[in-house]
Amino acid sequence: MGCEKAWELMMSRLDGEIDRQNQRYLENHLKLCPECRRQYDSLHAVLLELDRTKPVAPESTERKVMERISGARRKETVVLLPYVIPPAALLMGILTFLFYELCMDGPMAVIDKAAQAMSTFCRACQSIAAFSRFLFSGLYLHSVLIMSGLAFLGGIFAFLYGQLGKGMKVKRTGGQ
Amino acid sequence: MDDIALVRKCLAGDEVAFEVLVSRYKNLVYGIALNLLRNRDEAADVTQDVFLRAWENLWRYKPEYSFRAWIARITVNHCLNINQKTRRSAVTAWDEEAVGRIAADDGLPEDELLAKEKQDSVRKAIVSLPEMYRLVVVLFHQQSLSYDEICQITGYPLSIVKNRLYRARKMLCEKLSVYHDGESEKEDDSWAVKKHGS
Repeated sequence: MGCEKAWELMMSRLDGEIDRQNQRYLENHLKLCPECRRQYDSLHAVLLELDRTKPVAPESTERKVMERISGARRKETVVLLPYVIPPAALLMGILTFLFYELCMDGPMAVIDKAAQAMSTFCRACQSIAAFSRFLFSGLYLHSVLIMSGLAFLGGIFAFLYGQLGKGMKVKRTGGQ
Repeated sequence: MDDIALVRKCLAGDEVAFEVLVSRYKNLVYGIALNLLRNRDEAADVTQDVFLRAWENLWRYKPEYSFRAWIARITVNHCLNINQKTRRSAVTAWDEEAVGRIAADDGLPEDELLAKEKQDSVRKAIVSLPEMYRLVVVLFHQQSLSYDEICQITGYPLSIVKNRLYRARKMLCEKLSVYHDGESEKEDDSWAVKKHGS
């Protein structure tokens, strides 16, 4: 058996993929060839050294990691509070108003109020459209306006999606 | 309890489950960091950073991969980023610990000194390997990770990982044979000195 073949077998042995017959061939070759024996001893020394110097992490690692996780969670919650409190207050106000209307005038009055609000909103949109038509009459300017509007809406959705993602993350990490 | 069950518990907000994962993999993370950064304090800091990052991104972990490979991948990427930012040279072999050890070697018996010298030469050979070769050697031979896991960690196909390990072993042999040649020359010289008495 040549030295090249012996080297291949050495590699297989280091990978733990050598069979018994090849193992015997390799051992016989190592007895006869000092150069291969030296290479094998070198690799063996490397493995021993790697095993001997296997690093051990400091004992305080768990404690420090858990402290940092707790700290990060507290910080995250504080950072998100300004984003959570105003919408929650607004929602509470709307619900209180609706409940008040419901108690005072009954359900039909609430539906009527909602319809009125919707029609006011639609009229406002129509006015804005009419004003824009008055300002920019060309087709090109219209398309620019539409594209800007779409970009603006996309920005709002992206922002909301980001906030929702953060909110879900806080909910998950702070869920205990 | 297996890793995936622990990860599920962590996602439900159980910090104790995460502490178990930290205890299980802290030596792996620290070992990789120390081998890539070669500084104990920095490696300890990176170990904490990696686990913090893992906690924050636990929802991204896919159970079809092993947790061990996932956390090792975070560690490797983090360390390579640090090395890239600080532009650490691949051959700045000796950290303060090694220098201290050399200083402490004075006064040891000759056999022990020779054994230590040999250990140092092996260590030097490992440290002087290029970063990606050293990483593969450490992951395979020191951390006992499988080829599949190393592929997941490094992002390289199996053929490249096997080739790197093969070449790394070859380089180690060459570097150590230079040391052995030097050693045998030294032995020859000392024999000549004894024989001729000069």
